[in-house]
Amino acid sequence: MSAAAPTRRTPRPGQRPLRRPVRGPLRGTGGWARGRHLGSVAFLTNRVTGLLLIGYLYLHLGVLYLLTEGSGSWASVLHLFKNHAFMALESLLILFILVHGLNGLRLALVGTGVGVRHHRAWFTTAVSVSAVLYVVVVLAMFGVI
Amino acid sequence: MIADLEEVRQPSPAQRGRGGTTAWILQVVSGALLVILLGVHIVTQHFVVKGGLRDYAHVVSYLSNPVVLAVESLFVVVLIWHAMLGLRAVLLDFGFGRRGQAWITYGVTVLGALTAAYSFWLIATIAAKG
Repeated sequence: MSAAAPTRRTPRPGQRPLRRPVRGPLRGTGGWARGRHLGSVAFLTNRVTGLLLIGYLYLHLGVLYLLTEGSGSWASVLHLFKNHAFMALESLLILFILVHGLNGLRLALVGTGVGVRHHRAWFTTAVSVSAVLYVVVVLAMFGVI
Repeated sequence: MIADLEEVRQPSPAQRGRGGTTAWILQVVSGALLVILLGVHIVTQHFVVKGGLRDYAHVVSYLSNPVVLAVESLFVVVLIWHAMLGLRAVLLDFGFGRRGQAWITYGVTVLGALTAAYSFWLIATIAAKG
């Protein structure tokens, strides 16, 4: 009887043993954070920021309902929006949008075969540009510039 | 070099196969459109407004403009499309069977349609107050 053909999950000689795969309906999640490569980090970053932005979308749509109730309701929520603690939280939304957008652009390029060999540099660039733009936006939000 | 290329985790062939190449292309196209539409939305709603926030009268008069109404409606459609495709891709990665995948596609379609319907109602209601 011949030896079993190596599968994708079979560790190569010298490679550390793979973790036991997650079973059941959650088995796919094991793949999200598999490995410590920058590609995995970029993948996870896009997933997490994407899900957070979907959560914000529904929160935003819920808040905008106040506009249908008239000027009084909107004026009260505007007061909350101008609170500095709230603005600091809201600035995180800008950060998530920037990271998700620029990393998404990188995914689109790499996925279509553009700059695949430089995908780590793309990610570093995306994060760096996001960080710079975030600082500029925060300074603008708080009226510094 | 092979190890370098193996690091590229997304979109992996398995993910593309599960989510579908068409869905992936639509995700990329809607993402590219969102860069423009979201940029327009954020700049016009916050950055050109004194204090960064529109008061009630400003929002109503802004949405009463037919061009703004059309752009905001397009923004809503593209945003929900992109969000639902992304949610579907995340859920498909959990590794459900064919039946589960069909339910996920059906579920995100219904959720997207309901979200779009509510958003259009919201836009129309606010614009009608102008």
